[in-house]
Amino acid sequence: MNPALYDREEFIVLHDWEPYYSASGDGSLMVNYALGSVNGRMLGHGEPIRVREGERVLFQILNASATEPHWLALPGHRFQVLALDGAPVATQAVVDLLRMGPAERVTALVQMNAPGTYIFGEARKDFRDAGIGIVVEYANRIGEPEEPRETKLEWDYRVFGDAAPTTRKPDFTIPLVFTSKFKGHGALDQWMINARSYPDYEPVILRAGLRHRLIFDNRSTDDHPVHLHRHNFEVVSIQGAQTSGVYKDVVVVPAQSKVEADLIANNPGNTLFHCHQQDHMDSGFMTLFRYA
Amino acid sequence: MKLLLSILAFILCMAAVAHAQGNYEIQVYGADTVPPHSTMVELHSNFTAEGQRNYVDGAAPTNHAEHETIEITQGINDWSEVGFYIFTSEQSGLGIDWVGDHIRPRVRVPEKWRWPVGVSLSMEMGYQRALYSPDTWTWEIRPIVDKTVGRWYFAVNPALERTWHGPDVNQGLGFAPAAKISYDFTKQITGGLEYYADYGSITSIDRLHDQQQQFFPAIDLNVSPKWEINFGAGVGPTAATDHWIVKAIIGRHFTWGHSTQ
Repeated sequence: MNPALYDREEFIVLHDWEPYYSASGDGSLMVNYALGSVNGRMLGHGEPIRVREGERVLFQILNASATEPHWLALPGHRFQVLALDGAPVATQAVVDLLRMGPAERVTALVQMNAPGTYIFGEARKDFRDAGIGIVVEYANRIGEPEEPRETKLEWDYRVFGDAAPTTRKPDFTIPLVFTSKFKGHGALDQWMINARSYPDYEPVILRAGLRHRLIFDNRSTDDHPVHLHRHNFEVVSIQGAQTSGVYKDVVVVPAQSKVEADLIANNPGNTLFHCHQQDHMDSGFMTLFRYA
Repeated sequence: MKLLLSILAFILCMAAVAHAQGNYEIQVYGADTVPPHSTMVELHSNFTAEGQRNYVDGAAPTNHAEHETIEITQGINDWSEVGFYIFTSEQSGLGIDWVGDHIRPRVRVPEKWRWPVGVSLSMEMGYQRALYSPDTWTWEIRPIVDKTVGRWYFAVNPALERTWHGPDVNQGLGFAPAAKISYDFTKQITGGLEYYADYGSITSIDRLHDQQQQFFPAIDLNVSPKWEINFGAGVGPTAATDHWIVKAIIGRHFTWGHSTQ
């Protein structure tokens, strides 16, 4: 028995390729992709991840897609999430699906205890068909790999937090309201934070060493994976449901919802805050945090 | 707006040199197809306020006729669909009647090919009773090209028609184009102009007097991705065209099975 937490480590990078615009449900253009890859290879190409029964594999997963969230599944196996965006989680919950917004990272342990061959990849068939997947092959097992089954796509950061909410009061509260301006069914929306669209912005002022409660108020019809450079923040509530112990630097704020996060200003310097969906960032969804 | 007015004026002038699809489905097609795992159900309601008052080739007058058409379109994959039509008519003296049915398979250039314009090709074939359409069995091939640029939308449908049974069987291919230009005033309200024509045989264009020409100022309401709503009032300036028609399209998307979004 290996006394370490895991027997081997595998790095997984998701990417989408050959983007094209198409009409979205809410009326503006959106980006779709013809192809996808895991570690630079489309599903069916490249070498499988070869494992042995009984191994404990630590997956370090990054969604490097410019705009697309991805849902990952490995049939017959579950993920014990150890860290999100590199920060250990308060509760190492075991889940069947990983939802990863653009730029999110997940560190998850998988017990290899179901010999066979599988597709570790997108839970949604059309994304697997585009290439988002890699074969996991147990030693001495061959045959058609088993695909993830259709399942309800659900994700809640709070399962990785403490049951008890944070009791610390913020020194400052900073509302960040996300809205968009319609520019035509044949155009991308213009995005705004607090009614300002980058490069027209009003910097957010931080006080060194103090606790700032960021209120991500998403009034748009899109989900936004918002990212703060050079810092992480603790998610303290999602749509009014409190939590603690989940530290992130990218958090997906669902459409028409609020997420609150506490930021300790502990790394002085100019700091970008933006939506990590490239087309949103390019259309104004960005601002600067400055230290007073 | 000046550009819209200029284009509208140009299309109106073109009427001087330019016949319309039957008043059962008055719609300029966009290149999009219904996505897989989903069905579109539409009700086309067309009232001819001022139309043909006499029987022509055995076909009933259209004046004050109310045409209700149910269109059901099933998405097959991300580049094809099949539509099915049930045509009905209601008018004084004839009551409510079934008029006929058409089937319309359609394929499109997938968006992932990244063509600069949307392109699709539909074929429509079927039967209409002689009381309502002298040409009973017909076939139509309709190329569709469209483009959305910012708030502007353009679509052209240079359709070709062939009669399999009826007075026009010897006409050969008929040319029945349609076009649309519209502008997004807001996210929910799009206004524009739709044009429908039937020039007669492609090898022997009818005289203007015998062509069908219709112009429909129309509004599209984009209230929800699940709904399609279109209203218009059309004028037909030539003798062969019904002079005033009011149309409405109410459509509802139904999604089946697993969502991919």
